[in-house]
Amino acid sequence: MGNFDLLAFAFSIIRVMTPLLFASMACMIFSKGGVDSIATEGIMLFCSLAAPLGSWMFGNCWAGLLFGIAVGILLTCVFGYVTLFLKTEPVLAGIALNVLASGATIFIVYCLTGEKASTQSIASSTLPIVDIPVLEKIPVLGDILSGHNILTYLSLLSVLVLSFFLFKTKSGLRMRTVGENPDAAESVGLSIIKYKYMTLIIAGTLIGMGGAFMSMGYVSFFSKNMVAGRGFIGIAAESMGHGMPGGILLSTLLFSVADALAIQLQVMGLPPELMQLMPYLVTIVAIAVYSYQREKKRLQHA
Amino acid sequence: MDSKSRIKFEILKSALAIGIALLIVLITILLISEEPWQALYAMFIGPFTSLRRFGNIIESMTPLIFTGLSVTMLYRVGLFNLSMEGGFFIASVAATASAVLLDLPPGLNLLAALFFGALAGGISSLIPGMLKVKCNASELVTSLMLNYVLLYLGLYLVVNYLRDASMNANYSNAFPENMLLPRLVSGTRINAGTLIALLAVAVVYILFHYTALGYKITLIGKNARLARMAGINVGSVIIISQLIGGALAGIGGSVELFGMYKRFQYTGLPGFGWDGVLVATVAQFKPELIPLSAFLLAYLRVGANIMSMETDVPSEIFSIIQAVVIILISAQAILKKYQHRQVVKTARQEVLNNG
Repeated sequence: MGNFDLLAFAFSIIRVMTPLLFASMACMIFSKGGVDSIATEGIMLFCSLAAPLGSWMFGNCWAGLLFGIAVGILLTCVFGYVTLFLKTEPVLAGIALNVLASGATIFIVYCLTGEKASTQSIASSTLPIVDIPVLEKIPVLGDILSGHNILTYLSLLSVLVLSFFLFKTKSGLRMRTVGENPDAAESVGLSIIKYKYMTLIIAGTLIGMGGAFMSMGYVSFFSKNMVAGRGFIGIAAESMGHGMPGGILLSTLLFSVADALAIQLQVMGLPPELMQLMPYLVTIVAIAVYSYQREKKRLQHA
Repeated sequence: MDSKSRIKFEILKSALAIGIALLIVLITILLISEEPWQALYAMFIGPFTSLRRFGNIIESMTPLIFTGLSVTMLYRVGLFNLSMEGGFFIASVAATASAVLLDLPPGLNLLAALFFGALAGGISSLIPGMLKVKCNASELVTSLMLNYVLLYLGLYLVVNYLRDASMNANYSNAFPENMLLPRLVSGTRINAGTLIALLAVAVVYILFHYTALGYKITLIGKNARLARMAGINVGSVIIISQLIGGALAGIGGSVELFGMYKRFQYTGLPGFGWDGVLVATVAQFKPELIPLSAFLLAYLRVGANIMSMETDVPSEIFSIIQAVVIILISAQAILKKYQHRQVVKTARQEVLNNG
């Protein structure tokens, strides 16, 4: 453990957590609003392409972020339309969208650049790094918490904002009601369509920011299949955190620690494949244990 | 609605879905290509212009039949277990290990490899199934995570225990010559794997139509509560169905390996499991329609590849067809009005006939 840098390690946890947190928060909103979340993976991949393309087209990183978010909202709404109005089985529609994302993004990159692997030849910018005043001066805490990409702070902020929205505002309560029991919601005069679209738009915004972080923060270009299962991890974190913002944040953190640790241990010479496998295995075990306890409790009450 | 007009309706809907998908592809090609007519010719006529190309369709159809059957089996009991993707992959690692490490006599070595492939695939799908039955954990979530575990586990095993040190990439040692599945048509790579796939179709068809297990699986998928009240041990039927479903993907992984390759050379999940979802959806989760639907998918994919080789349109355009077809075929609200009119018409006819 000679040259293990604890501060850099803690910093990297927060960094790898950013896209995962956006994905899990999007899955939380989907789940609360009663929309299936399996398409998160594919939509996020589309957004991670859209953001640098937007930044290239409009010559501005913020325009890129907005373009990524717009694509996120558009695609969640398409998914919502297909599952809610055309009544396609959501899991099948989600798989279709994920398969489409993986092919169509390569298709678009090829049509624009003549290459299939990445958009490195296109000039796009990254979103700014933020040094937080006062905090950056504090030793240890400042080293870990300051100097991240602006989207990292937005992802943490989104946990607070969404908790407040879901549990303290009228719209949040109504959205949850529509998600939990649409018939009851309709019987008291709530517009189901309005709150479903609210769900889709909020989730799309979060996925858009998560996708934009991948290609305008984590690295500075889009490369094929770069989302690599992060959308699925969002679904797992939502399920592990029992749908509660705090629990989901903790689950996402657990995954990020495992992920950052895997990167660290690889550097120290342990087999990389086994290290990459760890976070997923931890997730399966945690979901199994949690579900088992919940089931046992349910049977005791029954 | 009687069964005849229901079949007519399903065919109409599938044709409409495929038609819309092809229309979107047509428009896309016209928009982006500088040689759209050559591109369309290459895509739709190309696969039939030589024996080798037609052979490509049959070869690509084989793994799709297996994963299509696998998805059908996993899904008909009412579960969304997506582990066929990782199962296909880890099975090919298990089959490679058996082929390269075990020193068995010819014939037996192939059987052993297929067995270990089926076992690896079966266990892969069994895990989410077990977690569902025993812990009520979402099989969708656990199987999605499991696919990554299987991917990295497989790569670890290949890199550390099966790798051919003389190769520049992470390829395994070559399989013994006598393990490769015999080629059936000279000038193509069509091999005995296709026959094994058709045999599997027959077995799954018989299972669903002539056995109690198949009936129980379908019943649980339609109404698990009713099945439970009828005294069926729902948990164990689910577990068996998942085991069989995974084993089908596993045999597919091994057959693809010994039919098409001389050594293991995947570097990531090959995606056949996701293709299986399309194949099974187009076949309406009916085993007897799987070969037809796999053929259609293989034809379009081979066509897309020929197009990307001969013209300026990349083969990834294929993913558009895949997505649009899955969404439209499984969309229940499409053609609802037409279906409704048919029902009314039939009912009116009946009243007239009886009255």
